[in-house]
Amino acid sequence: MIPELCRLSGRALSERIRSRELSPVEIVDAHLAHIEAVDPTLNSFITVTADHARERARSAEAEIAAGDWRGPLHGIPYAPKDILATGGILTTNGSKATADWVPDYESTITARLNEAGAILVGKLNLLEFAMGSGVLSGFGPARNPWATDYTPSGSSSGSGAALAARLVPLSIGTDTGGSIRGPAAACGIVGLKQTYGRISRFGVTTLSWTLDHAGPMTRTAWDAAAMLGAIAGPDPRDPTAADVAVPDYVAGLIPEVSGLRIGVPVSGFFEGATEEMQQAVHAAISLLTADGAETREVEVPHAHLAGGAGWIVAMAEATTFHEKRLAEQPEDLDPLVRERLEVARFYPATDYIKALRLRTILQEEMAEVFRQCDVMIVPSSLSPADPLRSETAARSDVRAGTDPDALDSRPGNTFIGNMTGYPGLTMGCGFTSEAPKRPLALQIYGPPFSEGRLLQVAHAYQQRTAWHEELPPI
Amino acid sequence: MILAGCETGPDPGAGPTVTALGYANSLLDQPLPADRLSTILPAVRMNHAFFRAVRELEIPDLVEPAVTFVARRPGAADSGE
Repeated sequence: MIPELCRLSGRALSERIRSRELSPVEIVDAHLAHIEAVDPTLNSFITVTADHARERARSAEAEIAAGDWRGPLHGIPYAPKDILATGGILTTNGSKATADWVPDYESTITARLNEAGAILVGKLNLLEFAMGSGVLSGFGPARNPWATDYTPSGSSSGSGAALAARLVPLSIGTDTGGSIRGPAAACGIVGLKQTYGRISRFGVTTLSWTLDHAGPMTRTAWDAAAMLGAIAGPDPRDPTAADVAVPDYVAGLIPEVSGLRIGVPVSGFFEGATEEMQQAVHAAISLLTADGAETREVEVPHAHLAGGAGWIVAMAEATTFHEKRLAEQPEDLDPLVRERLEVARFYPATDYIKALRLRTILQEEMAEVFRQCDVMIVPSSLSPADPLRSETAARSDVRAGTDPDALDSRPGNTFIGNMTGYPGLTMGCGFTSEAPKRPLALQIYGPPFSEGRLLQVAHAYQQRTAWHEELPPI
Repeated sequence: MILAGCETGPDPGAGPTVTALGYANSLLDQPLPADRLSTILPAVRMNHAFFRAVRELEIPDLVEPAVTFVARRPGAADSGE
């Protein structure tokens, strides 16, 4: 049973803090108690920072009582994926290889959230180094609150699970090929992979320099807008963080879609998705068009290659990053991480360069799409959450009878956002009819730095639906 | 670069052979032990096949690699926000 207080969004909690109906101390205590009750089942947290959180909550309570309200995140609990460095607090990357690491510096994202008054209540589980099996990663698998024998997807697995279970209202994930949007889809929450450069990655452990993104994971578009406003913007410690003005994302959340031009791809994104997934996404588009949005057929001719090309880039870069660790601590790695890194040592350099050239083509094709429309809506993933894999199956990407061509089902629908740097927002848009009930999800793409538009469309959709209010059976 | 020239098995489309992988491994600064080579061979072959569509794609000569994102070009911030 989920406590009433924990069902509230970040926005609702913030409004009650401002009206003095709730204090940050009450809010933090309620969430910590819920974590203690439920997380032994879900395994979504690696570390719970209860004492730290209570101390911060008391400070926030005093500040707000003194009239020093910092904004909509002040006093609101959050927990990032445990791949963001938190000064003085264990940061494991989900791996035994770094299980004892306590950074002496703070990631820019968590520093900015702390400055905005948000309260760290813990660090969330993940696929090891954002690429492991989950099952055999350093801290075991997080479980999907909608069906605990199913995966919350990954690699931000703990973030997806904790949000859906109402253990926290706000989280941060990272996304190199879909690791924010996969869990957002599997758990029925909101996940925003922002434009490459919108958010600083200082203090985020690298998976792939040119594909890595970090971004908000929440249950509502409003909360994601508030988080993005707090963490976006240039950072002298990350030269890839773009010097682009940060708009007031919350003020832009007008639930109006009249005249919105929605691109619907004629190929490359819907194929292979379950019938129910396709129906749910088309139903969401129809809901928006019924209120004045228009659809346009668009095409990204090489979209089907985004997954393969993205995988080459991601694993080649990851292997370079982890070269020393792979040589010195291979036994400490998730067997799947080890396999992927070892295999990538044999990638031809020509394949890597070819993938980068395809990246240029994909960027141009996406640019052409957004000359014709404002957003593009596609299924976020091809199917709802899968059952957790057995330990044997989790050891390798190779399984008996595997057809390499079937690997084209690697997440091209999300990888294209990483390959191009274009922003994508995933959100729940229904549930499976077959048991166990699991979320269905759409993804909204937009041109560079159009996060405000994506959030506005997502907010408009949530104002017209109630999928995000449904509670998992925990 | 190494394996691209080592499709020496009876079925080149199947990817590297044990011999080819062993040879490629011998050229690395820190070669993998033999047991790891045999363990990862199926995954090497699977990746080889998985990337075939990318590898065989014909790309016009003028297309250069994009290492990072287009937004860092001057003017890219003008997105209508």
